Amino acid sequence: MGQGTSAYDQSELAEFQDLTYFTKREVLHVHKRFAELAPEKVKQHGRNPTLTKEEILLLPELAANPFKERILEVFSDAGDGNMNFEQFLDMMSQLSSKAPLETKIDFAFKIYDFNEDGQICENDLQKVILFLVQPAVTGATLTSDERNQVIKNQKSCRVSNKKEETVLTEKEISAIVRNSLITDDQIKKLAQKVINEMDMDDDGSISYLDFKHGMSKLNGFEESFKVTL
Amino acid sequence: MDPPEEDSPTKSLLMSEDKENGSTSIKLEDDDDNEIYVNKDATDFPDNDAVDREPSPGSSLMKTESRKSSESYGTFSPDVNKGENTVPRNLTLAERRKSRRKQREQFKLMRFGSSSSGISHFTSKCVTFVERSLKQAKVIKQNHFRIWGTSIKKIEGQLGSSVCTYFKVLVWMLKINVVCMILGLGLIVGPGGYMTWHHSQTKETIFNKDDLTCNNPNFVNGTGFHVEAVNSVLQLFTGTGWMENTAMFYGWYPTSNLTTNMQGKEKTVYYFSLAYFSVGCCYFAVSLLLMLANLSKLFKKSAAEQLEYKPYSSVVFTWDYNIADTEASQLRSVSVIQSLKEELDEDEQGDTKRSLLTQVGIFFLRVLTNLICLAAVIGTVYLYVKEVLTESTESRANSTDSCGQLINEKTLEIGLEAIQLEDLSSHLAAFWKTYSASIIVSGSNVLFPVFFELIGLLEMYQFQSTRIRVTLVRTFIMKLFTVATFLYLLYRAAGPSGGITEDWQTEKNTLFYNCWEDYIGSQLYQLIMIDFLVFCAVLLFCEAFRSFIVTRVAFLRDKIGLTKREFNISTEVLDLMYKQMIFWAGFYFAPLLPIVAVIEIIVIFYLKKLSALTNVVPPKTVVLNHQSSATINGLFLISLLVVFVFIGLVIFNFQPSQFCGPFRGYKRFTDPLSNVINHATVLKKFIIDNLTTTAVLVILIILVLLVIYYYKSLAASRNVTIELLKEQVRNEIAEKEEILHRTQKNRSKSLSNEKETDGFYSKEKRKQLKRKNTELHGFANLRKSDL
Repeated sequence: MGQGTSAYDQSELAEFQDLTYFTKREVLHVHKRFAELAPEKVKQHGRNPTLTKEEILLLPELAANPFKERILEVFSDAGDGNMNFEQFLDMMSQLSSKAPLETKIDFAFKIYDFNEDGQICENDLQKVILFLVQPAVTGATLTSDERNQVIKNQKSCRVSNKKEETVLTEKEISAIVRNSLITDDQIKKLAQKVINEMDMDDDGSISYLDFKHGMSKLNGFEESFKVTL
Repeated sequence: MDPPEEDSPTKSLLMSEDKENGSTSIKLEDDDDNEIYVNKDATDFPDNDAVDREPSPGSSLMKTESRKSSESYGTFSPDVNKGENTVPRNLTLAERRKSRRKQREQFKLMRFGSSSSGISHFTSKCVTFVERSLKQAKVIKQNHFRIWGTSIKKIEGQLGSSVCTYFKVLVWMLKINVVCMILGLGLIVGPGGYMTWHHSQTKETIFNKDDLTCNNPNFVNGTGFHVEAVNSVLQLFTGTGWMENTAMFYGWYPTSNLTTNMQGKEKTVYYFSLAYFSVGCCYFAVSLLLMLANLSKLFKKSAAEQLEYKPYSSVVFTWDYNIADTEASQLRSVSVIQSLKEELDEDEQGDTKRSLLTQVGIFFLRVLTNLICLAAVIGTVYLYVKEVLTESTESRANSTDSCGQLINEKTLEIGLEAIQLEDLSSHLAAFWKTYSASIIVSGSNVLFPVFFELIGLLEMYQFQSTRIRVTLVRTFIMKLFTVATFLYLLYRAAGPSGGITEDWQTEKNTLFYNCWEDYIGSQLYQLIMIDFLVFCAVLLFCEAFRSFIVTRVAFLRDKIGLTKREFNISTEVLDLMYKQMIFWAGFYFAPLLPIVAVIEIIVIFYLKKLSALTNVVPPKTVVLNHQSSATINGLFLISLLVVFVFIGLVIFNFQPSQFCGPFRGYKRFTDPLSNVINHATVLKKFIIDNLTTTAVLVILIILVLLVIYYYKSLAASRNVTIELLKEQVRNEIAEKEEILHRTQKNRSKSLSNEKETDGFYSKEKRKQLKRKNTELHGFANLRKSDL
């Protein structure tokens, strides 16, 4: 048992076990993985150290995920991706296989809603597809700064639905088109098609209820939306 | 809806319903007077199981108020007044902890105040204890009893969830075989062993086949110990020779029944022959039931999805978060793009993409390729049958009459003469003779899938998924064909035309096999062994060697583009299905086969896991999990049916061997059963006799058909209801939209001092609609903003 376990005693572990979907053993395991990311910080603070976004992204399970920044932003209190151990534990618990489908749908919606306005509109979808395409694009990947920029490029859904703006900046487009895996035009069409499929109340974007309805019918969703440490 | 009456002693917990917007958010007040709007669902704390949730003081009240709580689609946080919609805000860990502590305190106070008598207190404590332990048991079961759980998670992380289907099928096969192994061991091998030992103690003579022939398989004509050792080892693989005399095969088992002396009378306690027969039947019944249960579960899930199939969303929103490897995520991303593009193409161009001429050409091409495939399969099968049958007729002429030295393809002993000659060609010839059957079957299992894949590429399918499905079907049919042929040959060889029925007394020397069940058992056992060896060989050469080359020799990787072998799920799963088919077929003739099966499955798992983690890349096209699981289960069922037919034919058509096995001496396999029935009481006999008449059977069939029809019409009516409800939802939304639009218009107009009677709906009608909307709570809340 490492140093991290001395930070929490049995009653606290029991509380963690009650508050999350983990058992005590798993809580300790999560703590161990957390401590591995930034050993000095954990040594110093011990109880509830706050790690920065970059440090958390060192985790291999997250690093391979195209939506990693969004996941961190959704689960961190401040909204910038830095989180302490409790939030990390919360995140891992919600993403584990024991969390119920509803919780997963909630968090999936938040992750995919890039501009955080309660709707997944075409903007958001285009960004989702962009990030899905990212790992396949060899040789022209966006740097982490550019990724952050794409995420932060928040245009509210109502505005852009009326006008047909390109939501991807020039750089983003060229990064993808250069490798001609998928064209900008195709991304737009795909976004439109997804909205057509999922939108039930015909307002041009996917609200939480549409999303929930759609995802609960989708069998592959529950299995794919989990991260195990 | 009035605010619920609160009679809790503390006042720190206030529950109120937010009436204005008709939503059901609940206001909690902290000690610090911070208001937290809580999602109704969030007060159900995320315990591992809902069982242990202590009833919070307000929850029962909540339940009565919110009879549609299951339908309420979450609540809206206080921003709703601004007209904006936000997602239900689940509490963070810290907040949950706070409110949970609050509730606990409150609950304790409540409970403490209300428990009057000691008995009720005691009983409630008992109840909580029981609930807790149940919950614990469930947690343990989920966490610790997943067979190979960690390994599968690791593989999932590297290769994705679809590859895991293969390993899950392995786990499921293991479960079935373990159950059957326990059945077999407990009911057959155990008592059989005891009885044999018992009889040897009491020196009762069991008329054994060894008495009949001087069959000493290891009778070596003075050629030395090493030959004997080699022979023994080889015989481990062929299942003949010394193995025939072990518990492995049918022939070893005694026929007598276990009797005890009770009060001076001999009473049969355990009818061994009957037990053997019944366990054989149970084996199939158990497998069938397990598979059906699994299949029905999967069907339900996939049927719900088929109703509303969303090709785009299902790809975009189901990125596999399990993937922990950058390379794998890259491949996955590529496959996502591919499937998305395919869907786009299909939508835009549809079926008119190809010109008429090309379509006709392609049609003929496909007919041709299908014929080629069929011809290939049938040709192989035919050649195989011909060769085996001609060999058998040859060897019949060549049989010698010296003890233990029959060079005979049927007894499958490696001819000692061949070894003595030390001639390579005759050695090979003997080798081929003994193993030809199994080699052909295993070889075709390996080569044909490759062949089918190439043909699939040739046929120019538009979509990868169709191509994969076609290849899958072809491989499956090929496997069925080969196994069916193999079984048919066994049937022929052991059956009336080939086996010994009445000849044994006269022609002692032309005894080919004095125990045809053993022959079948050993052939199947041999097939399993060879198949396993071929599997290891493929693993070694195709996967390990190839990945070794690819990683070391950069030239091949960069210039030619050779990669590690792709994990082809469909082929591998069909291979598993084939193995399971052989296990099923062999159980009746070799009761220890499930042990072999279990060992083999365990070994295969670890080998495959090793190979999957190092030598293999995930497949390029992603197959949706539940659909494929249902298909796989269906294929397993079909193969079980084929095996069933074979065993049924054997049991009902052949006469049991006279000198070996638990049915020796009987005229038919079903005799023990009929004997028992005949000796039973008159009433039981009457019942059984009547139950097995055709009339009863017909009635049962009609009943089953009626039940099926009932469920089918139920499903159809439910579909209709779904459509109607959808329509209703759409209408409601349209109405609300209209109302909102008109209200806003009216508001703006009233500001400019105009009459309010303008509008589509009058004021009273609007009020009516509003009331109606608040009634239909669940449906009405589908809109983003409320009135």
